[in-house]
Amino acid sequence: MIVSGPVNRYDEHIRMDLPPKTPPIQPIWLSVLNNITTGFLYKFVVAEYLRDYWFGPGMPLRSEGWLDTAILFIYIFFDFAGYSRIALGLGQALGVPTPENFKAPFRAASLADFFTRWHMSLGTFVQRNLYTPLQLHFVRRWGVKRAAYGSAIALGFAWIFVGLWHRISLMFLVYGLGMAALVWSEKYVRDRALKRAWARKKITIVIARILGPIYVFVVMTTMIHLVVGEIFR
Amino acid sequence: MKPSFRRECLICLWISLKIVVLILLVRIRSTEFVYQGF
Repeated sequence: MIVSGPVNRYDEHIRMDLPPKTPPIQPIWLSVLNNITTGFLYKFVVAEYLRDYWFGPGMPLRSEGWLDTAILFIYIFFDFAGYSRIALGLGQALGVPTPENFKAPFRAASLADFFTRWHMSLGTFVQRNLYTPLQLHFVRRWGVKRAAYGSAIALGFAWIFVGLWHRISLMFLVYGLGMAALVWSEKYVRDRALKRAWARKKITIVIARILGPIYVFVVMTTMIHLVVGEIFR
Repeated sequence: MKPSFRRECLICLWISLKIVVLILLVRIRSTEFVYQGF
C-alpha cells in the first residue's frame, strides 16, 4: 500500500470558508484547466508512454536491476506529480485549498533540497508535526549546547515515520534510517565545507548545481532500489 | 507575475495543445489495449 498525497493541513483546509486575501493573478478557470491538463499529460501521456516503452505494453511494473528502478523513479514522479496536479486543479475548481506537492524535484542539488520539492505536503506535515516539536523538546530537555544531538535524533524519528508511512515493514524502516543518516551526513559535510573559502567560490557553486542533481538521482534510485520489492509485493 | 493578455493567451494555447495531444493519444491507445493502472 502506498499512502498518497497531497496531505492537507487542517488550518489550511478551513481557509476554504474565508474570502481570499488577494485576487488571483490569472483567471481561476485558466489555472484550473492548466493544472488538470498538465496532470493528465504527466500521468496518461508521459508516465504511461514511458512505462509502455520500458516495461512493454500492458506489462506490470517491475525491477530486475538498478536501471529499471531509475526508470521507475521517473515513472513514479510523472504518475504521482500528475495526479497531485489533477487534485490541485480540482481543489481550485471546488474552492478547496489544496497544497502544491511537487516543484521540479529533479533539479534539486541535495537530498535536503529534494525533499522540499518531492511530496512537499508530506514533508511539511512531518516537519511541522514531528521534527520541529521533537527538536524543541530535546533542546528544552538537554539545553542549547546539545541541540545538534537533539536535531539528529528528531531527524531519525521523522525519517523512520516517513519510511513506515509507505508501508510498515523492516525494509522501509531500514530505508527511513538510511535516509536519516544520508540527510544528516549531507548536512554535516556541507556545514564543514562552507567554512572553507573554496566552497564559497562561484565555480564550486556552479559545479555543485550541475553535479548535485546527478548525485541526488543516483542516491534516490539506490534507496528506492532497496525497497522496490516491497512496493510491488 | 503581473496578469497580462499575452500571458493568458499563451496559457490558453498551451492548454489547447495538451487537450489535443490527450485526445489524439487516447484515440490511438483505445485501439491498442486497455489501460490497467498502477
